[in-house]
Order: sequence, then structure tokens, then C-alpha cells
Amino acid sequence: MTMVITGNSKLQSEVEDLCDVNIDACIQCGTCTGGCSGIELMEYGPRQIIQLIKLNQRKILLESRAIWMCVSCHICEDRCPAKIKITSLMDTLREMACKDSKTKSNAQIQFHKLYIKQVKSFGRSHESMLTVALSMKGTPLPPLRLMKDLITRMRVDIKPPHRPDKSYRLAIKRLEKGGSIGHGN
Amino acid sequence: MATKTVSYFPGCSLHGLAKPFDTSTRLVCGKIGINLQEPNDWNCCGATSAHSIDHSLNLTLGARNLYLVEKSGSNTVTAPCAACFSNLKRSSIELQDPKKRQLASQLVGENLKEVEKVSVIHLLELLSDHSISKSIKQNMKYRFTDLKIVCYYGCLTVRPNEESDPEADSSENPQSMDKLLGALGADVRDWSHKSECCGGSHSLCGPDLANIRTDEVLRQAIASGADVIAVACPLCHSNLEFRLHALQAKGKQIPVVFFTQLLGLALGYTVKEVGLNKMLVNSFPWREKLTLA
Repeated sequence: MTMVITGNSKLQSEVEDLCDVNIDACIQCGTCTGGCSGIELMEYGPRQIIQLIKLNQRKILLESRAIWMCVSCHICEDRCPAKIKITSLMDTLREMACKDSKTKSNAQIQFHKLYIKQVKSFGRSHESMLTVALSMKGTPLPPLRLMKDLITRMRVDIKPPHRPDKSYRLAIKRLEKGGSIGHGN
Repeated sequence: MATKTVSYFPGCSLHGLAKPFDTSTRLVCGKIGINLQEPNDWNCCGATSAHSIDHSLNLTLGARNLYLVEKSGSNTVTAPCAACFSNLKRSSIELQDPKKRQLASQLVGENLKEVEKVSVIHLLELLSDHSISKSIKQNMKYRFTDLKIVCYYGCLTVRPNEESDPEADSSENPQSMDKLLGALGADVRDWSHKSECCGGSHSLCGPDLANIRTDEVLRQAIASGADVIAVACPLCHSNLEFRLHALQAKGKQIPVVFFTQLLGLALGYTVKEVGLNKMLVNSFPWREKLTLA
């Protein structure tokens, strides 16, 4: 079967509207995939992800494991000869997946949501409270021996969480009322 | 001694597991005449989570932090944490776009017109400044002898890398930490994984990937013949340290320390003062490696 592609796919236009990337600039050289820090656990590397965007494979991409195995290390983006902002692109795909009601939760989504909830409430993250919150959602606690060694070395934060100023709480409120800023850089 | 005041963004980790990074940074800067000013009520940079699933939150967090720096009267902010640095820098680049700046201003509730004047630098860049390197040299009490080090920058200490910035370190073969620690007399080894990733926050949510990455970094560091791994990022630090801890029974143990702790030792602070006794691998003969400068 011959596939004739004319113009940009719907998905490409959607992604390019949401973030500052030029998908057409990709020359499919694979430098991104060659340096990718998450590649061992991805079913599609960044080079293939760009191709899947061109081929309008929205469902495959948003349900992929690959977008969650990206660690946002910026190595792909840093090395890309076409200067495609691949890290922003991966952020955009993850955000699209999160907004899609069909997306099933996974360990990464669960972690990010818990982390954000904490930051919204306290203005800062609190490692001990985050560890407890994660364990209540089923993530195993760190090994006992590790926790003991960290506690005896006084490395564990036992202070109560930060209480942010009113200006912070107001900013979060405005954001939750629907303020949004597009991706990019 | 000349004094220089800069805004200091410690970030959440330096109030927790990476407290020794904060303590040693403050000691070193105090000694060499850098006055660190922590902006009042700074908020989390968003770490990996905010930009991964909520871009607007990420930019709001960054914009508010940059505003707090600007309001405090400072035009430079330094972050020791690689993720804080990278997020703040990305936000400052994004806020150059007038449309985004206006939206962020509405969300933060402040006029962000002036935030683009704030320059964001990693602590390594601050300490690599010519006059500051000179001040370190003048205040050096000890030098390291026969101490083999690999410098592990991690991925975000040197990224995003702006080609237009002539001061920026190379992202593929960074040198700033190598030079700083080399000047203390340490035998700084060249190695392959200087700016590779440690697996980041994956260690906290399905650790398979973080284990693959940290195992590779540790293997390469040990193969280079190093006695010590020096790091400049709290997450690199805890990922490597925790992995070593888990492999305690099987593999070689190597201390993973913050580069500021080594600077602190050379400037005359004790092992305890710079927090080296708090590291998980904490039985290294530091005193034997120091001779009077």
C-alpha cells in the first residue's frame, strides 16, 4: 500500500500550536535517540516519536510508555542539529495525555500529581511527607536500612512544611481558575 | 577582600536530604566574600513534575521566583541545584516573550517587566568567575594530595545551554568543576559520563530506569580510577548514593560528595563542618589527603 501524505497531519498542527517546535525541521538523523537517557525502556525513541506525529498517530503516542520514560535531561534537544525543542515537545505530549480522559494512570503520572499537589499547598516540596504520600498510593517505602542510615545521619527533613505567603496562594488560585500559558523554549 | 552580593536560590532539596550542600555552599561563599541573599518566600521551581504535566504552573512558579529576586534588588540569582537552575533559566528565557510575560504577570499578580534583567547562573558558574577563583586561591588553607576525583555534572547543570552565552560551560565536556577542584591540587580524571543523566525523578516512581542510568555512571566513575565522585546536583547525589547503598554488599563503595564540601575542606573547614560525616559512604580518610597549602 502506498501512503501519500500531503500537508501537516492534524496532530502535527495541534502539537505545533501548543509548543514552539518545528516538526518539519527534523531530518530523522536519530541523534536524539542515540543519546536518549530513557531509551532502554521506550518502545519508540524520540526520532520515531517525531515520525509518529507526522503520521498522525495520536492514540499510539498518547498511550505510549515512551513519553513517560523521557527523563527531561535535555540531551536530545542539546544535540539536535535541527534545533528542535524535543524536551518541550515531550512535555507537550505528556500534558496532552494527562488531559485526555482515556489515558490510564501510571507510576509517573501518580508521582507528578502528588508532587504538584504538595507544591500547590505548601509552596515547596517536603521529602518526608512526599515519601509517606507516595507509599499511601502503593509505592514501596525506601528500604529500612536506608531510612535508618539517613535518620542517624540527620539527613531527613523533620521540619513542618513551609507556609507560603498570600501572594503565592493567590497565584495558585488564579492558575486553578483557568489561567494558562503556552509551551515553548 | 571584595564582597559580592548575589541572590541565592537553595531549592527544596537543600532544605532536606541535600542539607550538606547548602551548609557547605554557605561556608565557602562566606569565606571568599560572596554574600548570599535568599529571596523571601521563594517557591519550588516545579522540579520535573510541573513542566512534565502542567506547563502553566511551571512558568508561574519560575516567574514568581524571578520576580522575588528582582524585587530584592538583585540582578543575578544562583542555584546550586541543577533542576532549580535549569527551570529558572528556562523560565527566564520564556519570559523574554512579551505575550508570555503578560500572561505570567497576570497569574503572579505582579508586573514582570523587569525580570528579564535577572541572570540565572548555576553555582559552578558563579564560583568559576575569575576574581572569585582568585579569592578561593588566596583563602586556601590546605591542598589535596593524591586524591583522584571524577566530576559528575549531571544533565541539567549545563543544560539548557545557550550558544550565545560565551560564559556558559560546554554541555558535552564541561570544565568548570574540573578547574575548581583541580586548582585545589586534586587529580581530576577525564571520564565519559560527566554530563550524562542519573535517571532523575524516576528513582521515585518506578526505579528501573534510574537503576540503569546510575549503574552506568557508577561503573564508569569506578573504571576511571577515581576515589571520589564530586557532584553539583542534589538529585544526582541521592540517586548515586542510594544506589551504592542498595549495592553495598556487592560492589565497590565510593564516596559521592558535593563539590562545595571539597572546597570547604581546602578552605580550612572540618569534615564535620562541611557535612562529610553525613554522607552515606562516610568513612573516607579525608585528613590524610590534605596537606598545608
